[in-house]
Amino acid sequence: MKRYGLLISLLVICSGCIAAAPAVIEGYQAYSLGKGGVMAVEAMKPIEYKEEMAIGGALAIQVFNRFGGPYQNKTLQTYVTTLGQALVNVSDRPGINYYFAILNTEEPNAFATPGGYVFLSRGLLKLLRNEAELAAVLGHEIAHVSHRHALRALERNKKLAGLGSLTIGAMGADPELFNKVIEEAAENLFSHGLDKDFEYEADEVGTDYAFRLGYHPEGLKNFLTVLNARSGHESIFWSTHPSPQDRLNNLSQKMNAFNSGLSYPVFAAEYTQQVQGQL
Amino acid sequence: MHHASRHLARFLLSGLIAASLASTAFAETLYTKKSGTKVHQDPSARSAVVETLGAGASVSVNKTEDKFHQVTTPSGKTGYVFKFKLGEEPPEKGGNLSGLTASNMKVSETSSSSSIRGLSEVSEKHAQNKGISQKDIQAVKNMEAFRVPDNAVDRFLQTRNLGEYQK
Repeated sequence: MKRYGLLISLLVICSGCIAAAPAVIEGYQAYSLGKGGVMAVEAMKPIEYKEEMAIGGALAIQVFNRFGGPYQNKTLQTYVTTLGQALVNVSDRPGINYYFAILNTEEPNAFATPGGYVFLSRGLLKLLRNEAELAAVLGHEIAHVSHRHALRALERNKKLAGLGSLTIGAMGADPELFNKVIEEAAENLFSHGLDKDFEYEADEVGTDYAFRLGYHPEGLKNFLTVLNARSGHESIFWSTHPSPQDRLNNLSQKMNAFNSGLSYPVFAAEYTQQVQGQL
Repeated sequence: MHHASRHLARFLLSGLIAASLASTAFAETLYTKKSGTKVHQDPSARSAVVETLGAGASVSVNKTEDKFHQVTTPSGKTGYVFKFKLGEEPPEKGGNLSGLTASNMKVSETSSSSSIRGLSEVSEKHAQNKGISQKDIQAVKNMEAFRVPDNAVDRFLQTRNLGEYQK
């Protein structure tokens, strides 16, 4: 019986090797219900960087337009940009430019649009209690960009299927086409939210980015606990994300990947010193 | 039956051992994610800089010590790099030229990517067609113009013992 045990173990290990191999082959095919029933339609091809910048820039303008405009405070913007850039440098996609801004609204919000535009609201900065939490929230937003979440949502969008390759030339020549793309992206960003799996992935990756820099790995988990206590408050943060409790449950299962955080810093005094009197 | 299963088990085990040895016998090749990646003499960012590499430089990893890889650079020098500054693939051409100097700038980074910077004309026109005010468009341009120098990021990490300065 023991012999069979060994054999089974080896087979399990081997099958694990195969399962662990990256097998991300995305099929760029969508389906639409035409007159002849369900038929295959060519889905959008991967969106390239130039097009990503155009989409992200258009959305970034809308973020300022909808959420109070920029909060003009050079001290805070320098602080957030410095920490943000440090996280970008250890991220999985540091080769593009990232931009950071603070929104002049009391509503606790955070956004990232394709092309590297990252926003935190003044209200969110007020809720954070230390730099480890700030690093994890920034890490979450950077992860949306580094893992191309909004773009992948567009590429899979059935309403955009059939467009084939989305080029800057085509979007520039046909404002209606670009408008359609931005409307779909804005729907995800401001109303419906991204797929919850993308949010969970951003939680895990964002936690990892902060941990790579050396911050306490429970920064995001602790902040989600704060958010959870505020559930029910009016904010699109709650309508566009899974509930903080669901995110906490998911993230808690992944925390074993990080070393015990007891000896890792949170920099509470440093955070207070940076934001005190600035918000 | 037992005999056959023993043979199969030995075969699989020897395969696993061989695969494991193979992975340790050949140095892994990784690529610098950004320009200005420093190769240090010791596994500490406070040690002397042996060489500074451009983006996409391939290095072979000899061993790993905590958060540093000991690498051999294309010029044959050996030193340590903070492991999160290396990736499995060369970086995409996305337009981040910070940290580049004439001496370490790679040809590939000076081409089309450098023109993909700043707010696209398509984005700006879209906003104007939507009746969005110029101040919101300008806010994005200001956001793009706000940069923190690389040495300020480095100083921030150094004072907190973070990143490659972790103890």
